[in-house]
Amino acid sequence: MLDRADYTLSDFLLFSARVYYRTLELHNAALWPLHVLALVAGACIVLCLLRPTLLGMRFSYALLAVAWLFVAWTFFLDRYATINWAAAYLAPAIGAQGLLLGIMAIKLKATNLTYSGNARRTLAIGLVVFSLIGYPLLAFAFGRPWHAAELFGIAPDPTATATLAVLALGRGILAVLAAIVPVVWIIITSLTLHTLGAVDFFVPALLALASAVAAYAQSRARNIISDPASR
Amino acid sequence: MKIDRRRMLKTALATAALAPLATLRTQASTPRLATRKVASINEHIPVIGLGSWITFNVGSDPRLLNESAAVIAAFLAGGGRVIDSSPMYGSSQATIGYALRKLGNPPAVFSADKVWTSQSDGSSQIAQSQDRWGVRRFDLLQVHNLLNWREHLDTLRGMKAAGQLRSIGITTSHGSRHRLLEEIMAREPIDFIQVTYNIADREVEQRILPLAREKGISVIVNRPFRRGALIKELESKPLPNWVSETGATSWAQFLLKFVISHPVVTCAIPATTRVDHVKENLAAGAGFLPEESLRTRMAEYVRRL
Repeated sequence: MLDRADYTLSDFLLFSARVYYRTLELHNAALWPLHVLALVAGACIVLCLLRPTLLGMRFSYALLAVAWLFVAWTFFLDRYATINWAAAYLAPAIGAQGLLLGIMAIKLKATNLTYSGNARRTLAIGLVVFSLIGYPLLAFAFGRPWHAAELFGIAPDPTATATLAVLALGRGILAVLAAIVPVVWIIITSLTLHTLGAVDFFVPALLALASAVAAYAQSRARNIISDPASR
Repeated sequence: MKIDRRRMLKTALATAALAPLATLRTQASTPRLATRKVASINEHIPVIGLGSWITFNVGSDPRLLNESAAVIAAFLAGGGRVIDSSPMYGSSQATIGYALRKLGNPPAVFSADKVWTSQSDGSSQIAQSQDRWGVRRFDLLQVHNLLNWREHLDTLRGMKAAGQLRSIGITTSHGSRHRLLEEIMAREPIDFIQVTYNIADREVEQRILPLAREKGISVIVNRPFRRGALIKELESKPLPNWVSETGATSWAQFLLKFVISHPVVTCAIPATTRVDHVKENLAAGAGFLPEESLRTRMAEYVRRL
C-alpha cells in the first residue's frame, strides 16, 4: 500500500490551492476596476479580427503587448512572487513576450497574416471570445469564489490563450517566436493546476491545442487583408 | 442540622485548604508534552514541533496571515517550541515573523531555519532570514538538502563560535542522499540532522539513527505524515482495536507516536494550517509513548492495510 516516498510534482509546488486562489482574489481586488478596461481591449481585438485590416491587426498586437507587460509587472512581480519565488524569474520572459508583440505590432505586414478559411477564422475568434468571457466563468462553473475569476489582461492564463488564438492567424518567424512563451506558460500552469487538484486544469491546454489546429490545419492560405497600402 | 457561623467558617477553611490539591490532581491527569535532550546545548525541547513547508507560504494575505498566527499561538500555548522553516518555503519565514511579533515575541520559541543557496557565502541569506523572523539569533541553522554543505557548514561553525548561533545541522528529505549524510555525520561536528521518517519510510532506522545516537546528534523528523498522504491513505481505514494501548485517538496521533517513540528521535515537525490539528499533534506528544514491541505491531498493522 505505501510505496517508497519518491519526489512527485507536489513536492516542487510551494503553495496550496487555498493560497493560490486567494492570491487571484487579492490580485483582482487590487486591480479593480481595470478589468473593465481589459475587457474593452479584448473586445477591440475581437472587432479587429471580425473586420480585419492591417491597421486593426497592428492595433490588436499592440493591445496584446500591453496586456503581457501589465501581467508581467502586476501579477508575476508584484503578486505571484509573494508565494512563488520562481515568478520573479519568469517575469522577464513574460515582459519580453510583451516587447516581442510590440515589435510585431510595428513590423506587421499584410503578408504576415493569413486567413485559411472561414472555419478557422471563426475558431480563432471563438477562442479569443472564450478567453474574454468564458474563462472568468470557469470560477463559477467549478465552485471557486468569483473574486478569483481570471480575466484577459489581468491574469496570465486567459492572456496566453487569447494571444495564441490571435497568433494562429499570423505567419512568419515572429508569429512562431511569439507563440513560445504562451505555450510554455500554458504547460507550466496546466501542471500547476493539476498538482493543485484543479478539475479544470486541462482548459488552458485545450484552448492552446485548438489554436494550434486553427494555425496549422491548412498550409495553403490566402491573404485576404483588404488594405491597399499593404500591396 | 443546625448551621451556625462556626461550622460554616470551618467548612470554608477546609475547602480553601483542599483546593490546591484538587488543582494538582487536575494537572497530574493532563499529560505534559514530552521533551528530549539536545546534548550539544544541554537543553530539552518538546518532541512535537511545527513545520512550515507550504502551510505558512501565504504571501501578504492578511486573512491567511492571521490564520497562520492563530496556529502558531495555539502551538505555543500547547507547550510547543520548535518552529522550522527555510528560505525555500516562499513567504513562510515572513509569516512566522508576523505571528511572533503579533504574539509579543515569545521567548520560548526554538527557532530552527535553514541556509539554502548555491552561493558559497550564505551569510546575507541568513541575515535576511533573521530579519524575516524578527530574531537576533537562531537556535538552530541547518544546511538545507545538503546544498553547498561544505561552505555553509564552515559559515555556520564560524557563527556558532562567535555566539551568533546556538546549534548547527544539516537536512535531507524523501530518503535521498543518505550515504552522503552518513559521511557528513561521521566526519563533521554537527548538532542536528533533519531527515524524513514515518511509519512507511523507515530507511533511517538502519544506519542514520544509530549513527546519530553514537555521535550524540539530535534528530528532527520531517514528513511524519508524508505531507498528508499517509493520513489521506489511512483515514478511511479502521484504527486497530488495540489502539488505546498506543495512547493515540486518531490516525494522526498514531503516526506521530510511532515517530517520536523512537528513542533517537528528538522532535517531529508536522505542518498544518489548522488550530485543531496542531492541538491534536501536540496531544500525540503527551502521555504514553509506545515501546519497541508495540512500535513493531503498529508498523506491521499499517503495512498490512
